[in-house]
Amino acid sequence: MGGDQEDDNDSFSQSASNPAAISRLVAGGGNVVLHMTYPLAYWSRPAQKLDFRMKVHPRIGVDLPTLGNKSSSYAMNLDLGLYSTLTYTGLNDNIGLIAEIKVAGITGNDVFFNQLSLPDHHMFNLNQVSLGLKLGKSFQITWIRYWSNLVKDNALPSLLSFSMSID
Amino acid sequence: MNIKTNIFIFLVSAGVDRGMAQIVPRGWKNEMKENSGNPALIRKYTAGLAFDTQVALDLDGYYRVTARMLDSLAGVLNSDLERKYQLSITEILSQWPDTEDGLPLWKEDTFMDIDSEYKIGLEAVSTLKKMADKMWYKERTRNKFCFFPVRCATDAIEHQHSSETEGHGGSLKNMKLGIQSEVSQYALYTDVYSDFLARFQSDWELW
Repeated sequence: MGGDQEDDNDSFSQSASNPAAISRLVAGGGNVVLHMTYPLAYWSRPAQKLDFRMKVHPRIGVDLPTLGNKSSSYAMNLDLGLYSTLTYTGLNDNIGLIAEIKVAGITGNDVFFNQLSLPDHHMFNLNQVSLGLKLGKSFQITWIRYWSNLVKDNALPSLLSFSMSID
Repeated sequence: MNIKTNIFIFLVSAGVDRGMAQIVPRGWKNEMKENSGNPALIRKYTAGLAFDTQVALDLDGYYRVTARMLDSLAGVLNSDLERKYQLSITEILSQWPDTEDGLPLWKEDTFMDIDSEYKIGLEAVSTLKKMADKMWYKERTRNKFCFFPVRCATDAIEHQHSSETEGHGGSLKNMKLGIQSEVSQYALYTDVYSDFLARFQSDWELW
């Protein structure tokens, strides 16, 4: 039995060899994306500026064929994500720290797995940890580290994200 | 509040190529309609409460007491409206001239003013109940750990608005521009949340 499990792991870790498809999955998962969120747990300490949220955040991504494309096949994926986020809003609400962990299982149709060049069409995990620095209400710098059984040695590049909110 | 709203409250966002997205709490028609009704009428009934004139202190029981009072005031206002509505109708009917054969002279707009006033009053009742729901949410979540904090559309709005990291809804309040870097490549993306459906389509409801 142990040997079978090892074979399964080995076959899966032969893994995705299409970096563009992985990047696309990490960036959102398609050109049409539907998110749904349901908060599972909440804890806040307004006096200490602390806030913790846990939420289930399923996402369906579809890569619809572009207009004029004769192909009718489309990639679709389902991301069953669970997010846990701890936020500290800091001094005078000007500097904030954010730590977030996401644990997710991802599956999809055959086109989706083929785009990833995965031999086995099984659900895989794609997890991430994020550390963010929020400056004022508008600017946020976030370091994001992914890990997954999608690629060998769980090696996915880290991202540094800069975002600006316009209120 | 209907049962389906109680069971599943989803904050839904849908995007097209991450260029446009909506955040819509389920059961939430729009933000403008959230506090509808005659403001003077609402203020008259909440005049005895301090929450709208003073900053709330984080005291145990404050939210619970205020929420109960608001629920009670909503009930009182509802009763007053019903009584006033019935009295007004009775008064009109008693003064209404009959035709020679004994039939009343009905017109389409006979009760229009009364109906309009009654409808505005009911909106004020609804607003008072939402104000109470907000207090109940705070009572349930402030300085506490709680599971399933969102139980109705009002909770969903409060939960979303209290977040520092999530969008706050409303027109053009969620626009984000971002740059991501990888070790060997750079990607530029936009993440623009416009939220205009909830703002401008007053009678649009997602579910």
